Amino acid sequence: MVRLSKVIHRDHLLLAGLVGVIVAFFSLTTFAARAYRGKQQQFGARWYERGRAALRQNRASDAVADFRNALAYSRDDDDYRLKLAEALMADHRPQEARSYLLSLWEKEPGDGRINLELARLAAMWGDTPQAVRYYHASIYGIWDEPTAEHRWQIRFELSEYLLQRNTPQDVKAAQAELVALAGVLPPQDADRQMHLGTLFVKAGLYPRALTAFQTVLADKPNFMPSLEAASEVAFRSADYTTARNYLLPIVAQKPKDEHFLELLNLSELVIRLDPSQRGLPAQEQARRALQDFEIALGRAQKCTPTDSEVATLLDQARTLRPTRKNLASDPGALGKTMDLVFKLESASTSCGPPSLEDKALGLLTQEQEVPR
Amino acid sequence: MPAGAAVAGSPRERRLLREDRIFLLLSILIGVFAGLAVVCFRMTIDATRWIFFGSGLLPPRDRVVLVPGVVGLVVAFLVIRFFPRVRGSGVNQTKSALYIYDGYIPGSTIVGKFITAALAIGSGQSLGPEDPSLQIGAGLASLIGRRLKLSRQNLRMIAPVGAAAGLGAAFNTPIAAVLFVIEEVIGRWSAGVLGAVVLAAVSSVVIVRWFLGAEPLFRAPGYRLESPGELAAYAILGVVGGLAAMVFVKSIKWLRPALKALPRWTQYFLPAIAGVLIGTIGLRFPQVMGAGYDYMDQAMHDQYTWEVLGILAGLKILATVLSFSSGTPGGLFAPTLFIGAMVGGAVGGVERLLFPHFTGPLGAYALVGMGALFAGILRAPMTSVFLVLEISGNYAIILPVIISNALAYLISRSLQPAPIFDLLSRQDGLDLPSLEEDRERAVLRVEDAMRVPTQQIALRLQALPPPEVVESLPDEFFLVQDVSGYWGGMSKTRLLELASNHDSAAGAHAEVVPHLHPDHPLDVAMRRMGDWPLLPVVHRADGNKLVGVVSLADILETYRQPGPALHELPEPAD
Repeated sequence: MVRLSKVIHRDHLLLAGLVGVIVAFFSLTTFAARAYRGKQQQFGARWYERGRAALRQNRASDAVADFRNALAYSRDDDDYRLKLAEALMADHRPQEARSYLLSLWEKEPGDGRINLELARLAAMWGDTPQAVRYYHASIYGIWDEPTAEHRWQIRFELSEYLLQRNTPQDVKAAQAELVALAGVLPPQDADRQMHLGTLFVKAGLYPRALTAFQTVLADKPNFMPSLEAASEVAFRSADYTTARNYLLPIVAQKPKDEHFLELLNLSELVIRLDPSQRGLPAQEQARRALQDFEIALGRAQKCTPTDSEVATLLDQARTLRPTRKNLASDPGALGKTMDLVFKLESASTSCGPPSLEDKALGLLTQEQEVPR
Repeated sequence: MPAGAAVAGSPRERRLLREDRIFLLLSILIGVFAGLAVVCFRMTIDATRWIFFGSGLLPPRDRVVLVPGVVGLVVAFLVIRFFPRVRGSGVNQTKSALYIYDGYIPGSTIVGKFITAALAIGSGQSLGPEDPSLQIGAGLASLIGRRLKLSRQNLRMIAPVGAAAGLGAAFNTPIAAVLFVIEEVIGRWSAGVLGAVVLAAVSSVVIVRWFLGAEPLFRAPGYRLESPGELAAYAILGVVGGLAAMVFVKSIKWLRPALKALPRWTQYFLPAIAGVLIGTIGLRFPQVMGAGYDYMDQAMHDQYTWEVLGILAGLKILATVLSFSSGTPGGLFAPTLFIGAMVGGAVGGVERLLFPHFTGPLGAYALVGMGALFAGILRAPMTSVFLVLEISGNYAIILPVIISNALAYLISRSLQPAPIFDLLSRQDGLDLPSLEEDRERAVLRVEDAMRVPTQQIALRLQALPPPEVVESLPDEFFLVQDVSGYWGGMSKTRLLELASNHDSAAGAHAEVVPHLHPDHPLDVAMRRMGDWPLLPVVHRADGNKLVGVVSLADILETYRQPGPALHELPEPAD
C-alpha cells in the first residue's frame, strides 16, 4: 500500500505539472488569439468600410467583393451579411441576396432590417402578398432607435409600393396603411405630414390629404409647399372656397405664377357662378342660373350646326326660355335650366377653346356628375 | 482504454489501477491541449495566408502562381530533410500508432506537421487543416502518454483519443469527431474508449469555441422538405456524389504511386510543381486554392451558377489530387467538403432548371453534397451524416442527407472497393486493418457451426436406452436432459450406471455445462468451450429446448470453409 500511495503521489505531481503546462499554453494562446482577433476585426472593419464607400458611390460590384472579404473575417457578423445582401441587390443579383437574407432571417426572424430587405426583394419580384408580409414583419419587427421613425419610413415605403401597383385592391390596402400612419405621425413633423398628404392624394383620399396639409399649416401658416398642396387638394375636392383661401396668399407671393392664378380665378368664378351654394336668396340663385344659361348657350352656338346633339339641346334651350322671375319663383324651372346648362357644357367640349367661364361651368358640371 | 477493474496485487495490476484512475482525467487534459494546438494551428494558417496574399479573399494576380511554387519548394525541403513522417494521411499515421508503433508518434511529427501544413495550406495548396489537426492531437496525446509512462495498452489507445480531440477542434464538431475515430481509427465501441474519446473531443471543442467562437462552420439557409418527391432530387445528388467520389479516389490511386516512383531528387520539386499548377488554375478560379471554407459558404448562398459550381468541383478534384499526390502535407477533409458543396450546388442548379417545382434552396443541395462526398470519399457513413448536421446546425436536413450519403457510399464502394485510407496505407507499405472491410465482413455464428442433435449424443435421463445400447454409442460424453428439463453433460461411465438402474436415473442431475444460443458469434462459443467436448445450443426463449449441439471440431471446420465472409481480400494497391 505504501508503494501504491507513492505511485499516486507521483501521478499527482505529473498531472499538476501537466496542468501547469496547460496554463502556460493557454496564456500564450490567449495572447496570440487576442492579437489574431484584433487583426481579424481590423481587416473586417476595413473591408466593410470600403464596401460601404463603394455602395455609396454606386459601385455595387466592388461593394459585393469588399463585403465578402469583410465576411471572411467575421462570418457571424449579421451587419456584414446584411450589407452584402444589400450590395448584391444593388448589383442586380437578387437570387444571391435572397439566400443571405434567408439565412439571416432564420437566425433573427423578428429583425426589422432583414424583413425590410426581404420585402424589397419580394416587391422586386412582384410577389405582393409575400412583400406585404415581410413589410409588416419589418414594421412590427425589432429596430434600433429611433424605432418609431424606422417604422413610419417602412409604412411609407409599403404604401408607395402598393400605390405603384395601382390595382384597386392594392390602392385600398395603401389607403389603410396611410390612415394608420396618419394616426401616429407627429403633427409637427412637416416633412412626413407633407409626404403623407401627397400619398393620400395618390390614393385618392383628398379630404385626408387636405387634413395632412392643414396639419402642417397649423404649425407653419405661410409654408408655401403646404399652401400649394392644400390649395390643389381643395380645388380637386371641389372645395373652391377653401381652395381660394389657400390660393390668395400663394398668388400674393407668386403673382406671376399662371397656374395658381388660373386656379384662383377659376375658384372665384365657380363660387360666383354656382347657384346651388347654401344660403343664397332665390333672386341670386335665379340670376346665377340665368348667367350660367347664357354662358352655356353662347358656347353651344359656336359649335358647327351639323352637331346633332348640340342642335337638339339648342332647340330645348329655345323652348325653355328661362327668365329671372320664372327661375326665382319655380325651383323646378331652376333645376331644369341648370340641367340643360350642364348638358350644353358637356356637349360643347369640342367647340373651340373654352373661356374661363366655360371652364368654371365645366367644373360645376363635373361636380354635378361626381358627388362630393 | 482503461484496462478494467484490476485488483491491486502485482505491479502490473497496480499500474493498471493507477491508469484507470487517471485515464479519463487525462483525456480531458489531452482535449484541452489538442484544442489549444488546433487554435494556434488555424491562426497560423490564416496569418500565413495574410502574409502571402494579403487580407482579401482573392489573391493578388502577381503572387497567385509564384507563392505556391516557392513555398512548395520550402515545404518539400522541410519534409524531406527534417520531417519525413509528416507526409501522407494523418488518419493512417494515427492508425499506425495504434496498430503498429504501440501508440508512438514522435514529437517532431507534431512540429513538422504544424509548420509544413500551415505553410502549404496558407500558400494556397488545395488541402485542408483537419487531417493535420487530427494528427497533431494524436501526437500530443502520444507525447503526454509517454511522459506519464502509461502501459503499452493505454499508450496505444491514447493516440486515437487525441485524434478525436484534434478533429473535433478542427471542425468544431464533437459528435462527428467521436464517430469518425470510432468508425475509422479504432473500429469498435466500448465504454472506456467511448468515454475517453468523448471527453477529449468535447474539451477540445470547448477550447476552440472559447477562442474562436461557438457558431457552426456554415450558416446554411433554412431548409424544409416541402414534399417527399423532393427526396428523389437528393437521391440523384447521391448518385452523382458517388461517381465524383470514385473519380477522386481513382485519380489519387493512380497519380500518387506514379509520382512516388519518380527519382528521389524530383520529390523536392513535386509540391512546387503542384503549387504552380494550382496557382495557374487560381488565376481564373482562385476558389480552388486553400481549404476554401469561405467559398463553400458562398456556394451555400446561391453565389454561383450551376455551370461555375460544376467547373469548381472538377478543378478542385484536379487541384487536390495534385497537391495530395505530390506529398504536400495537408488533409483531404476540407477539399472533400468543397467538392461536395460544389457538386451539390451544381446538381441542385440543374435540377432546379429541369424540375422547377423542386423548391429546396441551393444551399441545402450544397450541404447535402458535402455529406455525400464525405461518405463517398472518406467512407465514414455515420460520421458524414452527423458532420453535416453539426457543421450546419440544421436538423431538418437529415432525411436528404441520409438518402444521399447512403447512395454515394454504396456507389463509391461498388465502383472503388478499397476505401481511400486503406488505399493510402497500402501505397505506403503499411498493412493496417481495414475497418470498413471489418464492418462488412459477415460474423460467423453458432448456427453456422452447430449440428442437429441426434439420439446418439443427446439423451433424456427419464427415457434412457438399455445399457447395451449406451455401451454401443461411439462418444464418451453426452448431453442429457434431467428431470428439471435442464440440458447438461454426462460421461459415458455415469450414463451406463444410470442406464443400469432406471430408478436412480429419473432423479439424477446432469453436470452443469455452458449453454450457447444460435446467434452467438463463434468467438463466444470458442471462449465457452473450454475443455468440454460438446456444448448444447438452446433456444433463447426456452432454455429447455435443444436446437443444436456444437463441438470444437465443428467450430474449426466452419472457420476452414470458404464462406461469403472470407472472400473479400484486400484490393492490390497498384
